[in-house]
Amino acid sequence: MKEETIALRVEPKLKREVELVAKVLHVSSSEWLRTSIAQEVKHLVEDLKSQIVLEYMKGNLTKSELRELFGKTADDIDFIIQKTRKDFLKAKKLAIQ
Amino acid sequence: MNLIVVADTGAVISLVLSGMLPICQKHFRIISGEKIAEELKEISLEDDDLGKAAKEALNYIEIVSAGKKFDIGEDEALELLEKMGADILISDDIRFVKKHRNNEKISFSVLLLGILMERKNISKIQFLNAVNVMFGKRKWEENLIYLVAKNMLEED
Repeated sequence: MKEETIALRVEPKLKREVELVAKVLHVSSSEWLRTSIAQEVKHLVEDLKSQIVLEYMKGNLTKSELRELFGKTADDIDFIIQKTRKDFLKAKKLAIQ
Repeated sequence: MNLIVVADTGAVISLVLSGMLPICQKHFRIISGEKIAEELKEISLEDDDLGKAAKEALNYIEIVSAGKKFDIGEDEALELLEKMGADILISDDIRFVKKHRNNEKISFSVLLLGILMERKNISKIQFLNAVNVMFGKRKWEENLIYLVAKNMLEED
């Protein structure tokens, strides 16, 4: 799997804590950080699902970014947005029938 | 004359959960098939919010025979749409609505609330409250329908 680097500056105390936790778990600091960040991002995406959809509706996220976060569900989201928009217009027409 | 609306199981339950089925029943002729009634009876055996909603739904909707047996409620709803010359088929099953995207008569259940709001039978606040309640009681994917509707209403 292709990997990329995220560089971040942290306080010495936090760096030391990471080293100690990694030592307890018998893994390297970078391995522990990689796993922890991945888990945290996954949980956040789960918790922020609605927020993500709203940001997409506002145009602050692109379709490809939405697809990166939700996979195929991104297509359903797009469909629901288009369909609901149409239904709101349809409601106006049907209201006078 | 009232618009004729064919409703599937999920849509009927959503309308009950939102507290809007009685007012919808007053302004539309809401019908469902025998398979849908069967599904609602099955769900009504559960002792939870959905079970209670299904039980209540059975008191409101008009059950009409599609003339033959169906294994899937949505297929029966499509048959009824045709047979009854209905104006709308409501379903909150995203895959079903997506599959039949070219059929202009098929919509999510929130369409009925939109019509009621346009006719001033309910206020925008009542519409918003209804989608808020639906949003709190359904699964994530179904919730997308109510989330999008809520956002569009708020921005309108």
